[in-house]
Amino acid sequence: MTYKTETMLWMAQRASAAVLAVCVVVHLATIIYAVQGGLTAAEILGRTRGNAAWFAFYSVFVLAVSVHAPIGLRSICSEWLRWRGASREFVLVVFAAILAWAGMRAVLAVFA
Amino acid sequence: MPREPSQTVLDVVTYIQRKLDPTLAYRFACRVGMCGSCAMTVNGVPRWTCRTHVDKVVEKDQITVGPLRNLPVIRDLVVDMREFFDKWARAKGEFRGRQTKADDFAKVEPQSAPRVLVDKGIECIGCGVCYAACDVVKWNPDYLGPAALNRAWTLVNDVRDEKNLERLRAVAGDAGCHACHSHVSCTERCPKHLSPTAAIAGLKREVTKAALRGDL
Amino acid sequence: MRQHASYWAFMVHRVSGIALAVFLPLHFWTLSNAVQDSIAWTNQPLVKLGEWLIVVALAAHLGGGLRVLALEFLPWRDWQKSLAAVAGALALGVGLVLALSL
Repeated sequence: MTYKTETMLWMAQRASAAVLAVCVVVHLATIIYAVQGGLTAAEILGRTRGNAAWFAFYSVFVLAVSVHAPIGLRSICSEWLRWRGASREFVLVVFAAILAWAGMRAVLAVFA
Repeated sequence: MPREPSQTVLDVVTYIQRKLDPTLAYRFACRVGMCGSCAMTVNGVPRWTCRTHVDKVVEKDQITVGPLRNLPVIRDLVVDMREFFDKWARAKGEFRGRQTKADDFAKVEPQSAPRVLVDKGIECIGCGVCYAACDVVKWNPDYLGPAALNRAWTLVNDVRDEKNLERLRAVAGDAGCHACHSHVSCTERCPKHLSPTAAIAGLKREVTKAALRGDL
Repeated sequence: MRQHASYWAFMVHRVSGIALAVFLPLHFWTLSNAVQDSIAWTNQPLVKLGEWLIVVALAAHLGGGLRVLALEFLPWRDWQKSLAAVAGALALGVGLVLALSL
């Protein structure tokens, strides 16, 4: 991998981090609100179903996570597992795809 | 061995070599905290032994002295510094000016923002303590390391230097500034109180700007 | 080797990141199935503890991430050690709020 691609990965990591900082604060606040309000699963789903704004928000959240997590794991693979090269990149791309697919499936289930 | 007032770890090592074990190999030169040659690991921490008082580090009347970490050991307390300086060169850590002796002196305003940044990092004497303290160096054999990157940063901010784009390309990527995770161990241990962490953060910003301009 | 605040901030950030990366696929799977099946099994105390740990991990990872973003993008200041502390406090705060309600 070239220094240019590695720079792009770093930039994508920081950009997705900034997006996630916002998403995580909103998500944590929402979860705490729901839990403290004693909302049941059925009540939560009642509010989330068909909500386009929340659908869009969580889709962005899932996309950002699918970029951020694999790049984070990439450093851990090389530094703590001594795993570098094409096989590592391939596995991480697959992991990104799994996160995106599973995440969008969940978003569709809860918000569509 | 006898305990003396104001004794330094270098005094201890010297005593051992002279009186107890003449085969002990170690490095020192100025013994007054200017050259950085006497850097070793003392109770697990990289330090200048000539500036480390025994009283400050002794634990239950014992001190453990070892060679600097992250570098191959030649013998006893002496390490091979070649890789340290090779990485300095790989980070394009040498100055390349535009002018010749036919030109007038370059005028660099000492209080200008770039020069202030250079002055914060220019006093590095290449002692290797930061390199020995860095866990990323330990985990990533290709990582250029805090000293080489700190020097690159002082040159990036040197308005007389003309190699900037080449240098930014040299310090970008998995082996360069992007591998730093801001453990800040280098800054904690630097005997000259420099901050390679700040320099590396600066390099990250400059590389990003170059990438966004399409220059990288 | 004696470690300092910034080193622990990094370690917490990395370990919480690993925990989240492991947890997230499970979280997505559970959410997709919550719609169809009953999720009464999530009321078990061990699961509640796990949920609390994940929220703490998320808050800790956010705190550590803010520290990194501040160090890398804001002009260098001497208060970075406080950043590590703020990151820790943030994580603890969120964890406590949630503990009160779980």
